[in-house]
Amino acid sequence: MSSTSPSKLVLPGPEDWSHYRRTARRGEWSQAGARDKRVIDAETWIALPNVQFEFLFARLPSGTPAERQEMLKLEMESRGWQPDARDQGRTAWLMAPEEAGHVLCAAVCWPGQLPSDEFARAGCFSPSAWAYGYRPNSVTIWREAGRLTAVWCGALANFPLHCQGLSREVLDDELAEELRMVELSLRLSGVPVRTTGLVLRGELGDPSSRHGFARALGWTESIEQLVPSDGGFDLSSTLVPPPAAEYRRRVRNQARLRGFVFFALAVMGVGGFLMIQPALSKQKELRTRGAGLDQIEPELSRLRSARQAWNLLQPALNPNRYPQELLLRCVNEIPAEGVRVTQFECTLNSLLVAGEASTPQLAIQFQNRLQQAVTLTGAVWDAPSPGFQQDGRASFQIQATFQDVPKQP
Amino acid sequence: MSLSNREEKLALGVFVVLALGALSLATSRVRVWRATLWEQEATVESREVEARELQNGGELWEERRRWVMESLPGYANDGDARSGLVSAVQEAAKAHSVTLQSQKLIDPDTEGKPEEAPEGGADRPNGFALVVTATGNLKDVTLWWQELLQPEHFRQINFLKMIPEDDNSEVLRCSVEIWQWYRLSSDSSEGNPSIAP
Repeated sequence: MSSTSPSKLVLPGPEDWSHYRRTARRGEWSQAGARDKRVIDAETWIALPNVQFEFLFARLPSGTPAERQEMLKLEMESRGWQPDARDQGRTAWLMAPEEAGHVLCAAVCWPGQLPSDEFARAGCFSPSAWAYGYRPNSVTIWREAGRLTAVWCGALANFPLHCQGLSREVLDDELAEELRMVELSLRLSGVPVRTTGLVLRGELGDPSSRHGFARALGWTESIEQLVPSDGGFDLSSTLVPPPAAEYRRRVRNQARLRGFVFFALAVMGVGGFLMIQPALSKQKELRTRGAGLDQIEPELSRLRSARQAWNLLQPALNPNRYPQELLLRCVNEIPAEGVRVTQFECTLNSLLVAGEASTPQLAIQFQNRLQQAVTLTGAVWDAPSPGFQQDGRASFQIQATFQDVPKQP
Repeated sequence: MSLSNREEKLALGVFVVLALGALSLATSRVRVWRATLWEQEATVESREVEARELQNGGELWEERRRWVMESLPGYANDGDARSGLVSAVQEAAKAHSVTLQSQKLIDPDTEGKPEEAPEGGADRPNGFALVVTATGNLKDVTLWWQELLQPEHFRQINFLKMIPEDDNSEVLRCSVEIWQWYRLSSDSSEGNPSIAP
């Protein structure tokens, strides 16, 4: 755990921690369910690692790793460790390099969630010990679960030899005496601790009290922040069990994948909205305009019917389209001699005149006069070239289509 | 459920393929929808233009409608209208020395009804056609038409074909389809309008 402020805890990795909350009524810590947040309130919450360290220092004769592990397991059992079947696959054994013909070992048990009553005895184990780095020949102290916790590290960096909760909650002379007693006890039991430094993590007293505390112990004082927010040891550290590292890496990849998926969906959603939004507005506008037209449709229908009736009656009312008028206009264009009309045919929107002329030139002249006649404007003319008859006369035909006439009976 | 790296990549690939497919499908549907909307907009705009035109000339159209219904010749029933036109054609032909070859009434309900002709009714014009074949010289035929097609009669010629007779080029053979507009009225004496276009 690290702290960005005295009241905030930053979790190294939410997947490896269980969160406990202090109940207001009884002041006890109880697990209140997982919280997928990296920063939680340290006043009411604490975070405990799902990986629990059980520290055991043992001097084992040289042998194969399997033999050492078996001996370490027997040693653990002789001290009261009774793993159940579930612990078999969740236990890792950490062994330091040989030191003077012996091997330093530690057992790592992976118990999953911790029961609250066990946490109440927090002094007998180190909830967060695995998450920190340790300097050689130093004691690291931090506050956790309402009390101070201390870890002794030997000559090997990042290999804790002993961890325990302390009885005092402030840095004072009695705490210094307790630390000296623990160190002496460790030496007497054969643990190779030769502490020369003190590492205080987090807010532990004022600077003067910290300095006085270190001087009383005769150790070099060092103040450090809690572990980085990405948590605990580096993934390459031997103190991080491979399954945990793999699990953490996989969770990070999944989080990245989820982020990509959410981002892609968000982009698609925004893009889709931007694409259909103008169409939605247009659809709404068209509905409004259509509704307005529907409202006046009865009036429009009446006017439309009146207009339709008027247009239909135009051929009966407009003399310009009377057939006899068209015939008269055509007859007026016939020259005095040389042209004879043999067929006159008209409908409401077309006119056909066919005939014969003494010469092709006369036929063409008559066709041209019809097309240029002012009284026959508004027509589209089709005048094919005159044909020749056996007697030398020319036959002609010319057709006009009036396009401004509505469809009529 | 935990996935291996390979499974994660596979799932990611499937997601990308599905997402692209869904995107393509959605884009296609939206494009069709937008095209439909533009067509609807064109329809609405044409309706609006027509509505503006009609409303701007609303009083004129109403006035014309009233004038038409007042001016149309009125007949008690369709039979009276048909017999009226037949007798008018015959009398005019007789008066101008035009020989009628044949006459045929065309029922507008079965044939010859114009596509845009409104349904007849009390406030709408009714119509029917009479196809006539006649012969005569040009002057007589022209006078015959002249009498038939006086504006107050609301008649029109839908089709006319005129060719000279083979044996006598002075005589013309005419095929003509005459259309008569009228209105149904309980008082047939109303059909005597004064033309005021």
